[in-house]
Amino acid sequence: MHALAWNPRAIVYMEGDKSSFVPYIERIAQPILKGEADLAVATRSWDEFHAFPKVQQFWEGLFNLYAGFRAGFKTDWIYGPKAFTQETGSFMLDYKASDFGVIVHPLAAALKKGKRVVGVNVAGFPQDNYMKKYNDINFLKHFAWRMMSFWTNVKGLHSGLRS
Amino acid sequence: MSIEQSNEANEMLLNTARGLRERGYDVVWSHVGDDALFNEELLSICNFCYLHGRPHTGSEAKDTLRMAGQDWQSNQREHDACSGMES
Repeated sequence: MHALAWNPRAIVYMEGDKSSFVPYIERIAQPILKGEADLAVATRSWDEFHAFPKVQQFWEGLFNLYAGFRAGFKTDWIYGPKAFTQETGSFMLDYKASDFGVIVHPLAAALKKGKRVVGVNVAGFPQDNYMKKYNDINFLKHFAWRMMSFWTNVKGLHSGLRS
Repeated sequence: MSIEQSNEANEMLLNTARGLRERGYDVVWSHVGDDALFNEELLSICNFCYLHGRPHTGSEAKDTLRMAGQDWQSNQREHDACSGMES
């Protein structure tokens, strides 16, 4: 809400641990600044997606397939960063989000309301410290955590499409 | 978790904040307390941040976290300094 108070031409949402995304903020904001889209979604290439931990690839790939089929819009639903207009900002802010709902619900809600959504490819390779973090944790724990995240995102997807 | 450990664990977040500052972006940082983050440099970079679910300026957040002390993580949601802030 405080970002809206500055009356910006574009607002970008990103997770704090994606420092490699920072140089691509300008790229993802371009469709918004040019008036070509209401919401721009950062997407990874196939090679970039496959650089992430295997467990993450499995659950995120499954979710992207499901969401693309369910919402009729194929994109990298689960990567996270987005750029949006002030008006579309309401889809990011005016609902009670779970930890992961902020990634999926707003996109589903924007599509449901007929907003113009585009995907923008960014260099989404994971950083070394990100890989170390997940390589160091127990496989089963990581698998279970990603599986729970999958179901949370399914709920976020459906709540967005119902909104 | 000590403040020093939090700082180390959140080096990735600090790198992000530095990148945003270098490019001159206005920054709203959410869930500062929830991410176990105590880093004065990061809070100085943010134009606004959300600490314990409540909006603070960077300097307010620093003062609030200082008041909560080393054990701030255990009582972060309820302490007096935050409960008096605008939600």
